[in-house]
Amino acid sequence: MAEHMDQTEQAATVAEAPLRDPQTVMRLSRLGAFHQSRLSFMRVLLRRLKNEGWHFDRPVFDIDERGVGVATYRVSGPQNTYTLVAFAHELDDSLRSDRVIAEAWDTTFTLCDGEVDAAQIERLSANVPKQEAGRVSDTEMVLSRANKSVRLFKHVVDQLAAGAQPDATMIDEVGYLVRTTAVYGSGKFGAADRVNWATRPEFTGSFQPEMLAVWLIRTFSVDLAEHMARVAAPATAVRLDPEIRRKLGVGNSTGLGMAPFLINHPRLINSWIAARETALARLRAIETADDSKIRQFRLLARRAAKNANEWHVADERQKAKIERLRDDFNWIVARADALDTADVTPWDSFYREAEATLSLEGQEALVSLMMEPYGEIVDQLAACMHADEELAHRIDGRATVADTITNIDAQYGWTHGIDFESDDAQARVWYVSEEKLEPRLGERFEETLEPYEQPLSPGRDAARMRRDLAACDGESSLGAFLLQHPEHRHMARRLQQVSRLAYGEIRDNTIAAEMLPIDLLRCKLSFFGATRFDPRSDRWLRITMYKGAPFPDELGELDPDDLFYPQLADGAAPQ
Amino acid sequence: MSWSLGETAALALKAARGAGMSWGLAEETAASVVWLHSHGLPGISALCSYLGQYLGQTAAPQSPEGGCPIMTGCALIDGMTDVPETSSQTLDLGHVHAPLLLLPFVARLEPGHYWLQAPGLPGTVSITKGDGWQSHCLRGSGSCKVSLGNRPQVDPALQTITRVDGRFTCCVDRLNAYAYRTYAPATGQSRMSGAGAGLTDND
Repeated sequence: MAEHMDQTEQAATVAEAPLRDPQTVMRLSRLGAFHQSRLSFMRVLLRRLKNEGWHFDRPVFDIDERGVGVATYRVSGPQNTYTLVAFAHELDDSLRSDRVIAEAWDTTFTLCDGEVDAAQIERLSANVPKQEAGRVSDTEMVLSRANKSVRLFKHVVDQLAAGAQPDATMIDEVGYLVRTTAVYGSGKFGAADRVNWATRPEFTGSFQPEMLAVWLIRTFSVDLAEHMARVAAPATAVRLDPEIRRKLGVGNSTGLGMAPFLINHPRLINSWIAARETALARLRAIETADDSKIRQFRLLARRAAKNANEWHVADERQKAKIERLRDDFNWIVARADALDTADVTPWDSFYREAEATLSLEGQEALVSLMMEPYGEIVDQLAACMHADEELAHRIDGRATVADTITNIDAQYGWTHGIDFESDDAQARVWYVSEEKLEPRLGERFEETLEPYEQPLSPGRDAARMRRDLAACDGESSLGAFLLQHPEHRHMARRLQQVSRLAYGEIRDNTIAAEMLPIDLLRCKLSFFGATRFDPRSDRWLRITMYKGAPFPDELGELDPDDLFYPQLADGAAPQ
Repeated sequence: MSWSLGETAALALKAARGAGMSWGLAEETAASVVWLHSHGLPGISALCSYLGQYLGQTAAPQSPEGGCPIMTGCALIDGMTDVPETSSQTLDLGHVHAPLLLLPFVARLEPGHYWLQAPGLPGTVSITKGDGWQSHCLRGSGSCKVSLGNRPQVDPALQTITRVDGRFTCCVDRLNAYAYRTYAPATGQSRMSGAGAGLTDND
């Protein structure tokens, strides 16, 4: 049984159909087709903040007429208070880069544990603007920065200054005023280790401090634009209309740094995927759907279809997938209209037909969509989407060589068809550059990179270990083998670890010539709750976070879970 | 100035790898260093001292016979050596460098309460007893033994430390030099293999 079960489901009373086979789920092509859902971390955060009635205010807003200065955003819950400290800077266009190797940004941020005073802001002002080159302390939890979308930011400021609202088409096209280019948490650059705050109820799950920081950055981006409009034309400036404001999320540029994370955190990834798969299994076990659930689903299917229609990208590969997804939604909407309260296990039938009919994008969009009407059996699974990775999971050295080979064949049988001696199968090298430690993916046979290779190719490494094990006496121990072959110690540990995790390992060759790193990125970002995946190459993409979500000043009145799909125009809702 | 344990783990991992250990041994090294610091013991200094002995060489020795505290520790926790079953027995580990790095492995042995006897390492380990024994234990090397005690060797009261403080700046700098060996040199072609290469972000 997967590890997530010990944490959460001791008293499982919800019926579950069988989980999907890891061999089906853990393929890059499918992981790269995941969509946000009720279990996504930003939705989990907003649901909790709303339910617990958190308070928000802005104790400091000291930004000058050039748009330079500092602001603080304070959030207080039942037990704890956190403060986002936001610094706004002047940035020459020539320095504006989304890459890790950038050294200056339009805005920089840190999320602090508790209240902040002037002395702390002073200390942070000497460090946070430098990002990786500065230092924060254990009273800080997140370090981040964001660059303006120059075009939209200027347009919004100009329009507001003139007393008008921005152009709706431009808002839709860009979708954000600023985009973050890194959001560091968990002990990075001196920040508090996760262990310092992981047991706080508000941070149950994954990446909750980071999600909180980004949500507050979104508010700051709008406050900054409104401030600049007021400075430009105090007599005429107006504020953003709340309906338009809500269409603005926070952009994010994500590159290769995120890809190794998925491979380096098998326990965590297992907990995420297992929660999502368990949700699907629960839906498929539902005996009949009542009328209200069916109506809700029909409406949401149309809203999700609209979302797909509004998703525009330049990348040809993704463009083709989105076109297919739109066709898939025609099928989903029609199939939803055919749902009946008399259907037996309606969602199981729906899913089975979809599996035989739809593209991977369509199938995974459906999985997310089916969860929507069933918060009462889905949302509780969010509590098990976390895991503490061990630095060095203890190896059972007493396992025999023969048993270890059997285990490799069970876990890594998918590698048997791959010839790891061929150039194509090992074309890539994951490495870290000395340039600001940027993670990169190079060509093994074109550059001298192998000495710097990171251990991010479990498939190849398992095959190599199997080859060397096969040359040993089957009855000898793995521990004795590792004394002779310390180069396999990493893989031996991983093997024993993932063999207890149904969804801990990606079952594809992560150094193959045709491997697409963006599939790894999208999987992780979908769990964050990102939308509008916009690949800019095979190795980085832009996304939008919190588009449609409530702002802090309207969280009390609005249901955040109802805002992640666009509303339909009047009269477009099904009867 | 202080460092988080997460940073410390990442630094120890890269430094050990940069000094020539396999990734798997580097992971054990990082776990050992972090365990020591979380118990108030100077793991960074011990690693710095151990790797320093091999400065200029292509790689640190990677076998228990060579006195590597990490390989010796791995052989122990992998179950490759018979640990004492009674308090009158001892397990002789031979000559080991920077024995403090071995302590976390001994502490993790089951069913527990195993003690490491090393040059300069007195009975119960407590940071409040001063640094004298530590420096000897860090820099020294010598015959190490494992015996069975009736209580933990390391004072459990020390288990709440989550920062590595400024006293370790010098060692952190030296370990960074080893870590640097894991980074590929910057080249034009390499620059183009990062995410976002060659595009404008002024949009």
